Amino acid sequence: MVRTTMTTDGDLKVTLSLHSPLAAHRRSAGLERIERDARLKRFVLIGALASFLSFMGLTVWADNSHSSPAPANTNPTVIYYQDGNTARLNPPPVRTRSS
Amino acid sequence: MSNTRLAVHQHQFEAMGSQVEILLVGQAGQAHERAFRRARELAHEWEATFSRFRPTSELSGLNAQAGQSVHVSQRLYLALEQALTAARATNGLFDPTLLHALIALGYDRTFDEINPRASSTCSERRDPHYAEIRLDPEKRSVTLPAGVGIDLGGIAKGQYADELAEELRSWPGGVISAGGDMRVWGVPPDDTQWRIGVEDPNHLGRDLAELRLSVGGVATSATNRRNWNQGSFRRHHLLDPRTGLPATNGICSVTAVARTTTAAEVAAKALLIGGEAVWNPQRSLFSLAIVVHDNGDIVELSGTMEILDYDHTPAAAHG
Repeated sequence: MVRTTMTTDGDLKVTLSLHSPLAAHRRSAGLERIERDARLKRFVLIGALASFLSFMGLTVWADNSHSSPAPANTNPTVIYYQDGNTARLNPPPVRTRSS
Repeated sequence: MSNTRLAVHQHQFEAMGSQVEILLVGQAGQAHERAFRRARELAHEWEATFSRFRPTSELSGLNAQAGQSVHVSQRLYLALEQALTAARATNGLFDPTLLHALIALGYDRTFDEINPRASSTCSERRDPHYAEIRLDPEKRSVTLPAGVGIDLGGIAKGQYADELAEELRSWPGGVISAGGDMRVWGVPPDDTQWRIGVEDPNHLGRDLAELRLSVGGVATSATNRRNWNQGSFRRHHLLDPRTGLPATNGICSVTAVARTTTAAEVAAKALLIGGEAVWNPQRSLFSLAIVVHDNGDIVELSGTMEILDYDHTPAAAHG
């Protein structure tokens, strides 16, 4: 493409630029490939992140479901032993007595 | 990923003339040494403040200056305030001014050192002195009537358990036992409530029942421990303020459950001294009590409203 312009000195300035359709096609194809690769990487990253978060969430839930204390029962109750049998089988960890 | 399995960490030591036991629920690898170290430090601070057997304790200093106004630490001030509240709530059945009566009966040194043939002096019927104690909150001073001495033995252990429990509240569960007076919170890892054995007063070392609870205080007063011979008399440390002598009303043990260990201790002692006749379910000192009689009978009482609701422990205050 040829472009002609006049400078302030009154000279003519001719600018010639070459445009190759083949080169433009190649450049366009290269850009598309780069964009496609970037999209793919984004998908892979997002997928990996989602999987990681899901795994973490499941793990925390599983841990909590096994180790969290059960809801507290605030009402005191008493179980009286018959001849001390229950106490011998599974004694309480602590004993109240006169201090 | 860290292991979040819960476990119970245990620790025991001797302090305040008793065995202190601590159970803390935490992660299996959670550092518990700091909490246990703090428990021992606090017990030493308690002995330095409340022991009547240490001449250098703050309480001994106060007793030695009966008749004068004495500036005291915040901790001792609040403990006395709670003790006097308890005395009023029980119409004097709980009385912190029985020191000299206990000494006259032979309990004049730590229990392990008591001479089985102690002084033959007998205590006399006496008027209550707790109403004559003057507390000045502005000056934080205490004036004991001349000739009156304070013994905070049992209630001080309850106050220790309550304060330590406050300090360890960040742990999801635990039990603090100071010589059998306990404060409980949370639950153990494999159960929905803590299980606490109730000692059979007629068979030391054996339980007659188990309590299940997840919050509150438990205390037992019984005549089967801390007893001794005085001449031909068998004595124990639970004195009836109305006579100045060991209580004799057919009850050998009371275990009480209340919101705090301090309140449970007061309730157990008042019930053992006054008997079931003093129990009013509408104005109760406890939420549940197990009364064991000398003849083996067991009576269970439940209260609908606790009138002793200590919403602060001597705790918070480090004076």
